Amino acid sequence: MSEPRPDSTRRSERLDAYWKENQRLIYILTAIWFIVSFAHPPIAKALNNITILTGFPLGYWLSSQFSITIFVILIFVYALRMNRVIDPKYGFTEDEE
Amino acid sequence: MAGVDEAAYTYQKLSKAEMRAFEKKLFKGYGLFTVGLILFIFVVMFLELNAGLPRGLIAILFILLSFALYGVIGALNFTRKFDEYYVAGRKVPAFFNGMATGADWMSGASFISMAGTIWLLGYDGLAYIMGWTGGYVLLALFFAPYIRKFGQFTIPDFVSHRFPERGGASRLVAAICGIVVSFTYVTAQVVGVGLIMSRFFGTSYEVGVFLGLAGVVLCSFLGGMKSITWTQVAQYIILIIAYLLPVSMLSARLTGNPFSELMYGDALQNITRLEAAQGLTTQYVEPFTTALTNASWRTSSQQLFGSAPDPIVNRDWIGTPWEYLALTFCLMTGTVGLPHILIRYYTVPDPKAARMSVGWSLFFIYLLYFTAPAYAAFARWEMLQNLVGQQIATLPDWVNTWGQTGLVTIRDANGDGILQFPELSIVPDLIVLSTPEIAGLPYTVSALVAAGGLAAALSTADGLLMVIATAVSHDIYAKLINPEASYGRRFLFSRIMILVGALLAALAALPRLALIVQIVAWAFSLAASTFFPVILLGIFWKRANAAGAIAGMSGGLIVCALYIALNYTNPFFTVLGLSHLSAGIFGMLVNFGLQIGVSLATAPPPKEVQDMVDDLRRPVGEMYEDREPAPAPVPASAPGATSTSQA
Repeated sequence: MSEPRPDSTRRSERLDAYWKENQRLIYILTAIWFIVSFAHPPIAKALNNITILTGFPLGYWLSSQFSITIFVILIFVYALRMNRVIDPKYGFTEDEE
Repeated sequence: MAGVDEAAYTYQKLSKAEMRAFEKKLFKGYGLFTVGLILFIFVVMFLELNAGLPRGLIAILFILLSFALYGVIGALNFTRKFDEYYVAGRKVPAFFNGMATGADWMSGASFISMAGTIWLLGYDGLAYIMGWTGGYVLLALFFAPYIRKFGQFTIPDFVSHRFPERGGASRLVAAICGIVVSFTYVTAQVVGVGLIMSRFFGTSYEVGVFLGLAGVVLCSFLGGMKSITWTQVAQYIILIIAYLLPVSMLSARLTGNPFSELMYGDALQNITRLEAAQGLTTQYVEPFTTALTNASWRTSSQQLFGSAPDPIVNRDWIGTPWEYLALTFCLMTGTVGLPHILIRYYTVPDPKAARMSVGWSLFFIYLLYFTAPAYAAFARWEMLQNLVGQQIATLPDWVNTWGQTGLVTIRDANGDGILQFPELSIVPDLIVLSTPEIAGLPYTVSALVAAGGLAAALSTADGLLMVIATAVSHDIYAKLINPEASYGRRFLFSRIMILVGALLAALAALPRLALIVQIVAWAFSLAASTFFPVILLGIFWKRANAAGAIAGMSGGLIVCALYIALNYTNPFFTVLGLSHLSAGIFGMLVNFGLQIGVSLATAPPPKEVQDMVDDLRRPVGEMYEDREPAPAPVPASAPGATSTSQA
């Protein structure tokens, strides 16, 4: 994606580096999302023999409460990390304009 | 429509200080509204219990006042400005866009049917809880910030600008997909509205449908997306209070603790105990107990053709997790492909706000989804404990009132005059609507639940009608047929389409076909096989081109529809026990395969498109300076000036 003008080359290198870091974060969080979504249902029957909190069978609890709580947290982790750390690191803030 | 030609394109970004002031005003307004609503509920409840306020009056009070509120908000937000009409002026703060998305997302299905589905299916129903929340993670990571950065008006806008090589073809295909998905969805909302209106207002179902639609049009007709957004925020507040209050009261009564979400572990224990005591064979918390059947096809076939095929039940796959996993995955990826949700992220100020806004959206959705399994568990416990084992002659009143609507049936199979659980059959949709009565709560709570159900159905219907109207007025009329059309004409066209769409939806809802609910379930698979892969690769893979996108979408659609048709009519046609509900998995694989294969076999997309993708990935600046919707293909070179000077 290099362009003739040096200014734009620098710009596109900066974008590439930013994009790599963004993608890395995305892939880590996607991996967690995948595990939280699909790892426990196949063994839910066995997990149900364990009882937690006020009497939840563990397998049922993971699907009905744990996974969806993690989903909410994952999104805020991504949003806050991007907005507060990664975007400013590469100069992508509104003040810059 | 005199004066519509004054309509203007006025988009101007608010400064940070203006944004903060606006947000403060919103917090104050909606905060007061929430407090007022809670006070109102308690005053009415007090009057009912102490002054004997009649039931009919309470129902009318709740429904009329909520409709009046939507009408007032809708009218106050009347607009002639292009950007306000289509994207609410792009100044909806992340938090409030989260609430609006919550209301937009949670339809009659979430509010009315979901707890009932879990009540019926037990663990297997939790696929909906996970599937309809997990998609937001994908939305935040892969879609929302880029959709906002793209910053136009519709999803076909995005598809046609990213894949411009085949002229208007990609736009047309995307617009038609959007219309089909949204129309079936809106019809299902209207069915829900008709049900609630007829039950609580005492009108017939048909009259209920049209009364409800008047409510929908009231919100969206005047101010487009601006009216819809601010009405949806109010609707969210109503629906969430209406959902949480009854189950907390039920939990407090049964366990002494109002935090139902915490306490239903206890309910699950009791359910398991009672099931064992009553000798029931299927267990509530046991996973993967649902057989593949053609029951739904039999109902639909009976309604459509007047004859039903023989029942078929395929029990081969009971105990395997594949259907659960595939369904969860399809619901998640389908979520991300639904146009009425995606366009909500055009309405926030910038990509950073879009990221936060997805977080708030899921948080507000989570409040309801976290509670739905509790609703289901308490309702089941209550029935197993207090209904089963009673003399059929002396069952509580609600059994009879709901029995008259045909939604509850009691059949004394063994003729012993005592109710056993298998002898009780309740339409799952009833669980939420009837829980207040079952638990013996004041009628005020029932009326509140009705108003909440209406808010859920109306807010979703609004968002969907807007997608339909925009697809016709913007994507098809203004972009493909008459690019010279003035803003005034486009508005007129859009408003007419809202009316036409609403009317057609009402007509489609009148016969109450079971097939409609089914199509809504399929919408997720269809969206997962079409929009999801195309938008994902469009942003994350520069090499994707129009030929690939069109091949992928068509191939995905065909394979998905084929699997649905084959499995729906014959449950023995199945791969790994997957039902028609999770057909999207096959469509999606085919879509990805075709899109990648065909893209690589044909020429890469033009340089402008690759530059546009680069620009999408920069989280600052606007892509289209004047933001006038220009005819595709659009050269995407403008934003350099806005976003990339060295810090």
